[in-house]
Amino acid sequence: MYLPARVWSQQNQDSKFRTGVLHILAGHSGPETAADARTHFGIFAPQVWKLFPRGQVINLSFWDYNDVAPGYFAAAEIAAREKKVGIIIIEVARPDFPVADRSKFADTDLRAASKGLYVIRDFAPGKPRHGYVVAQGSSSTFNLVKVLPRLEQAGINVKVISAISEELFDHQPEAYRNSVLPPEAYQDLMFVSSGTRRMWPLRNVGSLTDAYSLTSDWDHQWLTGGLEADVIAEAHLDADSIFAGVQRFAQERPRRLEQQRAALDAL
Amino acid sequence: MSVQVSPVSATSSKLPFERQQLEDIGFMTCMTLTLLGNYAQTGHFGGPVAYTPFNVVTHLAGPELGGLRYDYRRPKHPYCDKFMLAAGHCAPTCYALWMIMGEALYRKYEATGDRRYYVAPDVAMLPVDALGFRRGAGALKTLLADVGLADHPLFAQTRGRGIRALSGHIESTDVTNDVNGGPSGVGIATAAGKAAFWDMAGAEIGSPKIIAFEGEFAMCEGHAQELKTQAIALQVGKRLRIFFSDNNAGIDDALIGGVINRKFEGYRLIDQWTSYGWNVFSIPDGHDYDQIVGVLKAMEEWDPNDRRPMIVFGKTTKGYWPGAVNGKVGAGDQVVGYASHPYAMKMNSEYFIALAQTFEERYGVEFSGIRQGPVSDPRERLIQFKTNIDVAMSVLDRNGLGEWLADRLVEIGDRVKDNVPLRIDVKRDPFLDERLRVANLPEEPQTLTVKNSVSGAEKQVKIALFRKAGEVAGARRGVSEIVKWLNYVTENRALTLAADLSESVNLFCWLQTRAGRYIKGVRAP
Repeated sequence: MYLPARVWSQQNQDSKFRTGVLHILAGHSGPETAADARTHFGIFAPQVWKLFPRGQVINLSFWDYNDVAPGYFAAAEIAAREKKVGIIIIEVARPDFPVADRSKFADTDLRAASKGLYVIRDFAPGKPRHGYVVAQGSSSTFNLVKVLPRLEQAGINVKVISAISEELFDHQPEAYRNSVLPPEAYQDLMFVSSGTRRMWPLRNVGSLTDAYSLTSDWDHQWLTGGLEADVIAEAHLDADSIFAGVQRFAQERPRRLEQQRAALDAL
Repeated sequence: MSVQVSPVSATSSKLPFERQQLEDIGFMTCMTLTLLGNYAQTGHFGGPVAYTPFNVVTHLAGPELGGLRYDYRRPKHPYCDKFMLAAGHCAPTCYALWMIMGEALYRKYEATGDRRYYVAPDVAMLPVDALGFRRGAGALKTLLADVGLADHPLFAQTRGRGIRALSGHIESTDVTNDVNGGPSGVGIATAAGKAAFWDMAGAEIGSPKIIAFEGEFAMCEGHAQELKTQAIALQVGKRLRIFFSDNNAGIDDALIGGVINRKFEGYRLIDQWTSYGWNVFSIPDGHDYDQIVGVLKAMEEWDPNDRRPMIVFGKTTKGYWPGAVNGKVGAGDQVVGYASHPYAMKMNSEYFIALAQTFEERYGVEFSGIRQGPVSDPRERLIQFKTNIDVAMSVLDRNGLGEWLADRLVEIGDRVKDNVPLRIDVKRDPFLDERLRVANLPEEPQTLTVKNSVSGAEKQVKIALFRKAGEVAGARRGVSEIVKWLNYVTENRALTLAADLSESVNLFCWLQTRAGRYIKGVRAP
């Protein structure tokens, strides 16, 4: 499927005329698909859709029902007006989760997904900050949101951001982008993602991102199958694993920042 | 299923077409593409020459005989027929033919000043573009200046337009071609969708039509295999016409008797298409102009209510040469089969000279310097290259061939209509509708009336772009809602393309809003 899309993208770039927009629906993506057995393990394959020149495709990874319409139509608005965008990729997983209560989010805007990244939980004021946690994907984000009260109770003060689309985020004004992820945040960041650590949801992230992020390929093995709960647990994207992973990230902040500073000082 | 065997030559010769002119242009095309390979020392040979007669007839027979309806002066006109050199590495046959066409129109315009023969410099492909074969656009900017030839009269056609880069595999930006012919089979795989698009738009079945070229090895590929089912599922009918160049020769091996042991007699190429329900034609000699015209006409006159896609198998010879006689080119053996796949002849080598000599003898011309061995000096190579391209082009001066060609191209081009009745409104871009903006998306569920534009039937559709917190519905269930809204606003301009995976990924919308013919097995309106 990638090959014809690549050829299409090249044709779109060179065409003197406006062409249509190819949509790729990765409808059963994420580790959840391993419930159909490991041959269906959809964590690396959806990332193939990033292998196009930057700005020529818009990747959308939805975790909540109410992200889909604003995220997609934001992408469609761009594609309908910018000829170079020839492909929109929509990635969704299978589980039916309860629709999120956005009144509890830092960004309560129902159309927040149109901005690409939005803040689920901001830093609690007046307390030490422990870093930025960026979530992408269905079970990963849902389970992270589930453990937020527990993290707060444990005194962990992280900023939690939902990453729907880096391309949509790139289209936002600088002021919004900096309000969500200021430049320094990229060095103080981990991912909780149903994708893989071979390709992060955002570019230019810090050198220790890999050391703390949570992804299905955490042990660089193909996982097995089973019920969805089994698969998510094996992927270390269940609630308990996420809690432990974020807690470690938070508690080791001084050490990881020192490590990065030392690396720069050594240059 | 029966195979339509094209009428024999004796019958076809009664058809009104200018056979001699087509054959001469065919020989010019073969010679020109050989010159490209000779001086570029790269590219392909056997495949391009094998396609040449069919390519020439397709472009010059005229629409009444089943040839392309297109306008060289406006090759990307939306309502022209679509030509697909899916066998993209065979680009030289097209480059050469387009140069010949471009030169004919150029000469006629220069001679008469008649605007009917005018082709914009960035649209035409001209003989000087031979120098751009397999070169990058950046290198071509200074190619002549670097060797002090920028002002040389031989290259006067570059003034104001430069040299066009001609890539190794054809692209959709190239004159009449409408496909990026890349890795084997990927281009032909889009042919059914291209045909289905015009069905959806409401164009009459025969126009525009799609004529695509491909060979047996590429048709082994996975995506080419999908074409067989797609085209039947989409019921594209005579709108899709494929020429299957059947020469049993790949890159490093033959297909039958090579990759496939001959003992497997059940491996029959034609059966691989009849068994999928295609309307299969066959001509014994895919280089015979009569037979080619005959089969194109047969396809053109076929019953439009027969919704089987069409394919014609033509026996061809990879490495075909118009001047070859009984397997000989001059005194030596003709190089055919997979050995002829790459352009592997050294510059001005013995076999190239033998090929060129048949052209010289047929048309009474003489190429310059080809018998003095290869040219290593870059300046001299360019001079000899262009000089000999012009020698090939000089055949246009014989018997009014150039005049005939220019007039033919204008005649065919004038047949392209600027207004074609379609089902869709081509003056408005529905994707710019304000209702599609994020700010304007309805938050409350909608119950809308939608109409089938083919049957006229109406029904109610519920669309919920947003749901209340706590309702159990995964993100995938939102996908059907966005597509329903998109299609409601654009009047069904978004389609799913999948064998059977629409409902299982929650694209239920299609059952409610589709026009009735273009999705999931296509049901007639």
